[in-house]
Amino acid sequence: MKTVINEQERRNFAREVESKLHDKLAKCYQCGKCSAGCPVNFEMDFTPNQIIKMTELGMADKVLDSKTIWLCVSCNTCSTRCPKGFEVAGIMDVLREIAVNRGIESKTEKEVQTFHEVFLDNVKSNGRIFELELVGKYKLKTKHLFRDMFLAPKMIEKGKLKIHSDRVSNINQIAKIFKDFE
Amino acid sequence: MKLAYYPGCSLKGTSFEYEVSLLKILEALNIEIQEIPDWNCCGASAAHSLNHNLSVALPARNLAIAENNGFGEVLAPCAACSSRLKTAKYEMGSDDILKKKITDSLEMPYSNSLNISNMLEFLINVAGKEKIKSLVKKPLSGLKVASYYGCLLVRPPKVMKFDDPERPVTMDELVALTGAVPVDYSYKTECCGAINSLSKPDVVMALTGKILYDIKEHGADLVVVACPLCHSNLDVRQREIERKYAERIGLPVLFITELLGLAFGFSPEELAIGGHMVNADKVLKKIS
Amino acid sequence: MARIGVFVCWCGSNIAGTVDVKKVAEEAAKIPGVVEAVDYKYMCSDPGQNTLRKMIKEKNLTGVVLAACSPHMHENTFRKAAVKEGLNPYFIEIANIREQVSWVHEDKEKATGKAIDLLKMMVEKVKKNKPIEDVRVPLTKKALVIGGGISGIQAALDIANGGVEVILVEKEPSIGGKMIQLDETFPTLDCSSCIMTPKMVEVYQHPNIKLYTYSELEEVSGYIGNFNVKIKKKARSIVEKDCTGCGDCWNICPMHKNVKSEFNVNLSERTAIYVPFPQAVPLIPVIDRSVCLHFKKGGKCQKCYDACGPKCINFDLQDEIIEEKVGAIVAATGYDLMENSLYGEYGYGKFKDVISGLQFERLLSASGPTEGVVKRPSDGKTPETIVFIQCVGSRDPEKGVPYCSKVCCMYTAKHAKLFAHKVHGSQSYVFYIDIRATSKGYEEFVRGTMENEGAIYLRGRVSKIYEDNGKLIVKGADTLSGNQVEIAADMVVLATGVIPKKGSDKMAQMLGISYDKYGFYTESHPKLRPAESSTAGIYLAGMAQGPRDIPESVVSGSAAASKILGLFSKSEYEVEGTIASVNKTTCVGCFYCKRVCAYSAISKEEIKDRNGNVLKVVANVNSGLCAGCGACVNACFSKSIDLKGYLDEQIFAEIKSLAV
Repeated sequence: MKTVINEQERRNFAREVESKLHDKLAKCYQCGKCSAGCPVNFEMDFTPNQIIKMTELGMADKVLDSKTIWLCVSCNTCSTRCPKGFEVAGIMDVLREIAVNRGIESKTEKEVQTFHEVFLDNVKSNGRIFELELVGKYKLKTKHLFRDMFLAPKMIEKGKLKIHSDRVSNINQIAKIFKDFE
Repeated sequence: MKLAYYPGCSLKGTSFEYEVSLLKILEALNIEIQEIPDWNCCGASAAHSLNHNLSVALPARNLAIAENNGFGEVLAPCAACSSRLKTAKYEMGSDDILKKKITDSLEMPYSNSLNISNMLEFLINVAGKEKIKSLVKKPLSGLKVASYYGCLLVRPPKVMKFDDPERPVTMDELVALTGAVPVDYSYKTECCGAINSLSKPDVVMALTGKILYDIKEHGADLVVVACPLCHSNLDVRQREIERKYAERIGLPVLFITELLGLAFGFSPEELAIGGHMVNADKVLKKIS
Repeated sequence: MARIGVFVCWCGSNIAGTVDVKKVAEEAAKIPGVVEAVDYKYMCSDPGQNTLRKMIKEKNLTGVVLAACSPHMHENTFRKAAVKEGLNPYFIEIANIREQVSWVHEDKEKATGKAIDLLKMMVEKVKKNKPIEDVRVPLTKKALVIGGGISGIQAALDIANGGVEVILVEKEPSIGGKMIQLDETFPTLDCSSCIMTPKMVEVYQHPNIKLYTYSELEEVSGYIGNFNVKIKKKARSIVEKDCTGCGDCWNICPMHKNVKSEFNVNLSERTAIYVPFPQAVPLIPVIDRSVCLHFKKGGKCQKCYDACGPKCINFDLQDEIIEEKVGAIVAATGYDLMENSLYGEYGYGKFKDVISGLQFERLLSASGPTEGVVKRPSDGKTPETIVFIQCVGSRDPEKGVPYCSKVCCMYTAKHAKLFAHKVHGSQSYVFYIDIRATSKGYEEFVRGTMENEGAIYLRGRVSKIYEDNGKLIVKGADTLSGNQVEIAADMVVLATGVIPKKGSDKMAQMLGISYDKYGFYTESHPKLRPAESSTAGIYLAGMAQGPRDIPESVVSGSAAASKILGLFSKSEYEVEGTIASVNKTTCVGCFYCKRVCAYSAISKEEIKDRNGNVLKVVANVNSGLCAGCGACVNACFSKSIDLKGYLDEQIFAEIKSLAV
């Protein structure tokens, strides 16, 4: 549990997060209201307020490899109730983005990360989500081939899973957006 | 004003019942909407989780197309889509540099002036309570209905600007218009686990289970929602939750548009209620 | 012919370290009119002052310039020394070469040059100075205290005991304020009403105090020593002098349902004719006309009138306006609690057993709705587990206020302690962010609640409260263990934040005193003049200034009183003579000056001929109100206003001295 603070690294990391977040880490006074109301807190390795403090202290490795940043479902309960108006849900987005940019693959929450990646790939190639392809690719990547499979027959029967995809016709424009912002 | 319709991917796939029923009731309400031409996915949670700029740029394309087609108002029935569209508008409204980057990339003029409504806002503001009430031909008397709002309709309030984030009432008011009895319960705005449905099914089942059992305890006959994600977690996962916690739930989950449709006198078939995983026949017998 | 003496102070090394004081004195000696220039280590010391006095006398000086520290520090010291040698005090000028030179510059040469320039300016100015007499204002030796809470009561008693007449105005039907609603007080646990009621009675019986309850301040005009106030005495519908407070009227009143008791914070009901609580002072009821059947149903009901022995009920009484003249005012208007319903996540207003701290005080109090037995509002059961939430509204810039309300840590510790005393085997949980227990005995008190009464303290906020099978499920964080906790409670008490009394901003505007963005009155100086408002003659006390506890409120009441007694100890009030004066010959009566005056010091004066015909209307400066700020001088289009001591010719002389 011991952390030796390297001032330069601490500043660099805290500043990187703050500039992407458009908010100040020092605003947080660690009341924990975010963590108290977080619906997925029970699965997290660090509570949201701990993540904020650890970010301020420059503990990039621990934060970017935490389960917490991937478990956050962006329900925004934290940001809504934060007495200081701090962007708690926002910092999770920022940290996920930094983790991805640094090429850090989550060791513990690989499925969540993979799902997001497969989802965006799906948008990139079709412009819209083709659910069957999305699920199929996700399962191939995570090797959870049989999880949830029992749902499929009934969903197909009910007409919920379509066999064909609607693509965006101006797919070049989608490609350009991805090129410009990826 | 020309009203644009942004269906989003779910309404064209797993939540097709939502689209079927909403088109039915808008027809009855005599409100004409037009699908945004060549719309694309809003990026949902994946985009904002991995790439902030992309999470604004993807919805922005839809808004720009709508604006350039002369629309002033967009209906985004999916709560996740409306949340992403509203967030994109909010972000571009507060970050000129990002807005410029995006409009440059889209190569379209864009003023960020559209009004974006979720399903409930649209019903209250565009259709109006009076008109909805006047169309109720078959009051759903005796039916006890729990409204489940989830997260994205109300949070964060500074972006959504809709209802009270802690004690929302809009959906309950719509339920009351149908003649059904709104049921109050504790977890109206608790999160169902949303997008992690596939990647963290256990977490999602724990969260959704808590909500469903609470609704059950408060004596509701069925649940209404205005979000395909919520619907999919509450409906599609319900059997599994029952198995996991070894306790029956048996709560049909309807879209608010379906409930209104029933009150307007449409048949369950017309509203595609049969498309749900939890069978609603037994509950619907109460009103027939 | 001007004979100016110049004194350059070293201020130890404060000035001499950066400014070449010898050189400044040498240069000063060369200025025409300067008869002698000396430097000295500490001019403010006794020998320093003696040097000054000696030179005034021996060299027969007509003016003195000191190059020293800010005039805020020692202008008075030197003026007094000058007066002793018969020199008008306004012939003392100070060039500030400490704050404006030595403390802010490093380069000795440049600093010395600047010091010489500043000194030159003052020498040229003092040559043009004219004698100024201080203004003397008569004093009406009577004080007005606004607000009958503990701080107002303390102020009124202290002033009255000092032999000065006091008028105490209270909006509510009884004095006592918030303190009389409290049960026991931290950290000594003495019963609030036991220590409060004797003071209330003393106010009522004091020969020097005139008490107006159920009354509001309507209008204030005038200035220090000479305020004219109008007090609206609201129609009580009772002939007060005849009432014996027997209670026959309120016992028979049929309106005993649906009207919530303000005193019990909505936890009980009261009648339309009522006294707020049994120990009310005065013990005279009031008819709440908004709910009384007599007033609502066209005079049909008059049960109270019939029951009243001395026949002192009079439905026809009207509001009365009382005019008083006072010399000083204490604003002690108190505070309110924030609206708990802002927190939808806590369910206040939805869940009956989520209550405020003040409501819990009433549940603890023997004079409260449950006679001191702790019972849940929902079903009357005694709670076994209570969760207390601190900082509800306080330290919350998003939904509440950013400041700390100061008293909540302590009263919550007290609540937990009293709950443990009253309900054996019960359990308290306290959610806090930081514990602020900084006065005498406070830290020990809070520790005692934890260590001896078994209250569990959790460091974190609560996010949400649910109702489940008659229990309140409190979802909070314990940030120390990093856990999310859920507690099934029977009752939840919210330690609600403190805000200024509703309408305190309007009151401040009426009084002409400044207030902060929340509505708390601001002190003339936050540290050195904490009892004074920004306006002379108006003093502040109690929570109206900001969150504070009972001892601090009492101290502030006494402080305001001592300031007033000090003011009244003189026969007249002296104001510095550097005020504005109008040249009535050239004044065109545009009154632009009146518009810019922040002190309401300018009035209209009619110039009449011998027959009483108005020749013209000109501006007149009230010397009691003028603060000498100079705004009117700048605003005057016809250049008809001068500020004594800062005449145009003096300012120009200063500027000219710098011409190379």
